[in-house]
Amino acid sequence: MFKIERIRRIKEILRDCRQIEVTALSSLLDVSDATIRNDLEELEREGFLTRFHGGATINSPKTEEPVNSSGDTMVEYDKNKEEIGAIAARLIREREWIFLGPGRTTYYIAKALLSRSNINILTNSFLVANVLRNSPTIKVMFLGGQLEHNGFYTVPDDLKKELHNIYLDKAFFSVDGIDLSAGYTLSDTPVLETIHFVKNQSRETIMAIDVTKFNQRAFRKVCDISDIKTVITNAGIPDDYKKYFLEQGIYTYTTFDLKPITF
Amino acid sequence: MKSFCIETRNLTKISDRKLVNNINFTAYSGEIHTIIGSNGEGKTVFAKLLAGVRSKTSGSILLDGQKIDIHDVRSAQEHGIYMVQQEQIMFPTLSVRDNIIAGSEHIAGTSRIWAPSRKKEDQLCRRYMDMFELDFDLNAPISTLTTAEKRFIQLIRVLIRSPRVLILDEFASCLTYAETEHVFHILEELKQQMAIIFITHNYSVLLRYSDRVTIINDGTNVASFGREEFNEKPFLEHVESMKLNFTYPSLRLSPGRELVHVEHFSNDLFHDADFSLHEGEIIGLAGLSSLERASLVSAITGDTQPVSGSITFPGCQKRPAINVVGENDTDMAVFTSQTIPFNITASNFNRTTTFGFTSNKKMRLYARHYLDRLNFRNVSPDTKTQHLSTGSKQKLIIARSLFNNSNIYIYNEPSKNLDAVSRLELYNMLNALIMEKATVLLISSDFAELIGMCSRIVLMKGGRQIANYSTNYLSVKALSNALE
Repeated sequence: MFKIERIRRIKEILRDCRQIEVTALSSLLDVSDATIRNDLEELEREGFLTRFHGGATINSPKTEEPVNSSGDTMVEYDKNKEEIGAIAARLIREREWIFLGPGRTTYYIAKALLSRSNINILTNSFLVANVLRNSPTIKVMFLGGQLEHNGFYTVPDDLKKELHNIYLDKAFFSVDGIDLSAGYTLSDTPVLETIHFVKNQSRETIMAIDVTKFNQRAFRKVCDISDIKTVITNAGIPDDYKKYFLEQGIYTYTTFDLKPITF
Repeated sequence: MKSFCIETRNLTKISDRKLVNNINFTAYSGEIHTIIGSNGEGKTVFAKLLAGVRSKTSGSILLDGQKIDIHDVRSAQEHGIYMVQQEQIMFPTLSVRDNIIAGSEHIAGTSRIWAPSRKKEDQLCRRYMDMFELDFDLNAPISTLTTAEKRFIQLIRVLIRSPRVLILDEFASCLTYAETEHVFHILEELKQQMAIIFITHNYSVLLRYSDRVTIINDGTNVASFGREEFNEKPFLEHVESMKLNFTYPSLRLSPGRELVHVEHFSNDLFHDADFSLHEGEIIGLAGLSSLERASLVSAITGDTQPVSGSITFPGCQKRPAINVVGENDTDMAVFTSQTIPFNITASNFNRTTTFGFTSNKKMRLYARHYLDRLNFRNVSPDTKTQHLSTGSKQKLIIARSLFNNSNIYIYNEPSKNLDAVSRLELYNMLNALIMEKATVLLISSDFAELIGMCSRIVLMKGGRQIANYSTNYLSVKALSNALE
């Protein structure tokens, strides 16, 4: 195989195994140890991995290049959020009115909806609006207001007025932390208000929250865990949360990545 | 008979982590002592320590105040401690009689040199079978018995050794209400001569039959209650957290192409079954007895032929790989003497070859991949296969099917032995499978589960198909009425 293909395979393998020895790679890819060492050197210069004696470890996700085909370099690639997006999209039915809140997780929900039609989205997130501009079959209503630079969303002046007489079927949110005693928490106060108002106007509120947020506590409390009746997250969350969700009668979706792979 | 007790003090088992954590436990003869708890692993490992199947790390086991040394099954049995495990393990090619007597010939006959006569063996078997009001042909091969009947034979096999301490692990999970009643009726009589320790998830079994209850969660003895305390607040609070009204993660996808077509299928047990399985669907099947379930599964896998009608797989020249998960099938499918990487890659060794030989490195790579993807907890490629919990064994079989890129799954009563958290994982995994364009046939007697997870339910009654409902407006009550 050519070097480009080989480099791509090495990256794929490392994304899965996190760490691997030179000898393992050389037997897997059917090339000499020296060739592998050269490749690893190059990938280390790129910042993808860190070498050690006999092998290499993948670097933490912060230094990975974003893999967004639509040219969105604004959002770092996050596998967990992508899986959540896929499930969330399956819960959305034709002709429904959906609210997508700010955050990267909802960006992935929008991304998963790209091929759909006959869906109406209300949002104040730039990331969502940006990805959906390529989809003429989805109606998007954007709530304008003060631009919040960090989170890439707007804060409407008078949410109550904007949402007056608007009724939604489902509202998807993501927060910064979930904790058994502290509940759902986040750091950006404006998002807090958005959640409270939209929740009241929406038939179902769904929390799309990835595994890294569990057992985290951010600045302000949004609500108790038991206040949100549906959660979409990843399979690796701690068991005591799963037990708690079941005890509270919360519909819990955990994502599994079962796509085929070849080494 | 003089009463005695079996006791453990600070019993601990540590392998990769603390499986059993300093358990102090006492069970008395003349009592049925139930062990209950939401996490499956702690209870079974504790029982295996008592029975010698696994060895303890520290702590002591005492019989009537005297410390006894239990380091293997034989030493446990010499003290009269016997266990009937969750898995049904029989000698599949031997007769009913041989399955009961094997290993216990010295009890049937008087001589230690000569094998007992057929007459003596029969006498012994009949004595216990009469106790259970069973009437089998002792010469019949064990394979002709149903799952429930084999369960009784498992128990009889142990009872002829006159145990002092009888441990039953999830004994009643494959029995009907009536059969369970029957077993406990007999256990009530037997308990005078022994201490019975009963492990279960089933709350109602616990309430009806136990004299004493111990709750073990995550390997720790949380609390113990006697029967007189069953109506009081502390006990009820503990148990409330286990009686869950399950919220099913329903996912409904639009069906893709047809993968399995069952067309006017009939055999000796079925009459005119007719349904289809499409990509992205979970189809439920209700109203089958355990014999009927086994018959349908073997017809779909091609082990038996239909008498009339057909089971076809549109778009495939030859029969595709069918994956059966659940109940007995998982135990039958796992290679317990082989490693986890072997078990996973067994469906397609070709994918793990280098230079024509299977490569351990590749097998381990795939194993690590699936252990991570399927969220195995505390399991590494080096973990012994036989130490896996029921839920983990199921995942192992699923990993094997995923490795072979199969897309037809039959789940046969898969959630019977699983605790709530494992059930949630199971259901979410079903969703993940159908999102990858697989199709699932879910055979179950749990109506809530069927309505929660399936898009359609096929109803059978006495082997006849009586309906094929969409689950959109179906209720549990309507289902049970239809099957009356």
